Amino acid sequence: MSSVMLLTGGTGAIGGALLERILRESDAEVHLLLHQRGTGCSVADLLREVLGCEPEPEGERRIHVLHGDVARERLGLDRTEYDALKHTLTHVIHSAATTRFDLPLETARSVNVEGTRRVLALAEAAPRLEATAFLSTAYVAGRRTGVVGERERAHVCGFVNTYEQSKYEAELLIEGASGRVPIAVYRLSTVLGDSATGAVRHYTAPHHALRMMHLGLVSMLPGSDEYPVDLIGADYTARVLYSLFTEHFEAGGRFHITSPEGKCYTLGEIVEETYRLLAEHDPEWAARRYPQPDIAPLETFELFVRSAEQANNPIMQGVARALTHFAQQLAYPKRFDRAELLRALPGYDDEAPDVRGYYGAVVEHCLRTGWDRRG
Amino acid sequence: MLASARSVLASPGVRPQDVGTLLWVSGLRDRPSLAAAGDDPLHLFRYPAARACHELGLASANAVALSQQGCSGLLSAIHIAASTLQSSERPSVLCVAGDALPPDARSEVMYNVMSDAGCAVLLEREAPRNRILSFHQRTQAHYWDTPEREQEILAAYFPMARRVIAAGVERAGLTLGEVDWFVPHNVSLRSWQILAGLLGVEVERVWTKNIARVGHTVSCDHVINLADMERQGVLRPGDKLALFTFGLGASWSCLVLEH
Repeated sequence: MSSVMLLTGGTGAIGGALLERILRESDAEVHLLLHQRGTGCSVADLLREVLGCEPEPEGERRIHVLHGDVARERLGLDRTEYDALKHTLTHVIHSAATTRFDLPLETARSVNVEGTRRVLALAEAAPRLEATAFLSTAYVAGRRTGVVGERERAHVCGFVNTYEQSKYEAELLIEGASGRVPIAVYRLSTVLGDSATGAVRHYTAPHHALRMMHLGLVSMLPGSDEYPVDLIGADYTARVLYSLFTEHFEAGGRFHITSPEGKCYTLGEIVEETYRLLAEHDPEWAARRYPQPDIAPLETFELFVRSAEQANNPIMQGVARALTHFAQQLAYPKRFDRAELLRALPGYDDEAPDVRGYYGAVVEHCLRTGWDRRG
Repeated sequence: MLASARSVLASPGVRPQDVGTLLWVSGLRDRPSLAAAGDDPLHLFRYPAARACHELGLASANAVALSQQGCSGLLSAIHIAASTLQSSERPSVLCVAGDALPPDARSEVMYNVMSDAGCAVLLEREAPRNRILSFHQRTQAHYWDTPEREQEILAAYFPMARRVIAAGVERAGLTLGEVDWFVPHNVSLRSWQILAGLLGVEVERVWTKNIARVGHTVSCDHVINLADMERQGVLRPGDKLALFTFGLGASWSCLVLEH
């Protein structure tokens, strides 16, 4: 009997890339739990949008769309659907999350913590379940600095945004369920886009920061020139995730899927490169001669953000808030140890694409689409 | 403005006949209004710069006006005056600056409380103090349309300010650490706290005492501040001073002096 998989967050940056890989490399039946996107359209249309290409008929047949909501009881499914799913499931990949950094903590928790609680409840009740994957973020490390180990979770350093905190709390739930549910945690760095094409399925904080730079609205970023900016390619991340989950699954495992040293920009470099690329792709923009943002000490950046708030200027407030929730992490330099990952996949570092090789394609994609994924 | 000029010309050792150029700086009151001109265009040619020469008795001075640099106007005028002195037959240039908002205008402009003010500066060859070490200015023409580009100007202010100050100080052959005083525009204390953080200098080296007392006066802030610093005994001979301002339009300017 073949695998029966539940994939949550299948239309997201990684979920979509994972779905593509699952369809290509396995014969699994995939239950795709969809919240909003896809409601009312056919599976073929959905796959066209998520995969960005014409779906194979065989792949289309293996997809079962469930309209639900991880934040609701029984994942928002009716009892019949839920029970049928429970009795057939062999694998769960939980990648649904709100990745917005600026939500109130309770709202972030309602999806990221309560959603995880409900997926765990389903997994625990599924008699055929073999493996569960929880997609987390490397930034559950919050305001920690220095080397962060994969086996480490608890800390008291605090968080830069509610996304980090809610994912941290979700990991706490997973730790509590580890004796009852075969589950591994995959902590991802910030997903930039496809390393081969530069395509971005899901625009997140770094893309919004890029857009604000394009609008000439970024004054400063916190941090220091030499701080590494950890970004990963969606396609390679999906490939690694798939391999870890299907070939190297370890219940209780925790893996950092982050950028290898020497394959990422420093903060100073990425700012410089961003302005060079924007100028190269958009001559009208270049003629405006926007100054590059300064890289500021954290306390100066925070004073600037506070001033924008006090000035009561909605545009500057919006920019300052967005940068605070995202860029403030840049002021807490850390290196993610990948010993467990490298033990499972020794070739990871060598095979990982260097972000410097595809960042330009991502910038070009954002400009071409106007930051619109349908563009 | 004329009162300030008269006060300067009445200083010991100053001779009006040595003034070869009068530089008139006013961003807001630089010309007769079109309304006042009525249907006779000749009224548009009643220039305040020449009138100031006449009323101040500067019989040997050429009258020149500078009107489109906003708050950068006086620092630019000082730079132009210094260049003019190099080739002038006469040993001094008088810069007269001043602005007043229209009576019915609000006195808050882009988060600044504005004051009306006038001031005058005499530049002399071989002057005993406030020797010019460097002047650096960057005009970013994209921001010429202030109302349209307001948000972009706000975003550009700090990175441009840091670059221009750093470049101005470097051109003077100094490091930021060798600057004794940053003589500010009086826009806001908060903006200087942030700028000091970006520059990596102690905010205590920014002379901020006039920010709350005087407010921002378009282009007279630095001269008022310098006069008050001198009067209060803050300055010592040889002190290195970095005067920085930003003018809507948009120009970022830094003048470095040795007191």
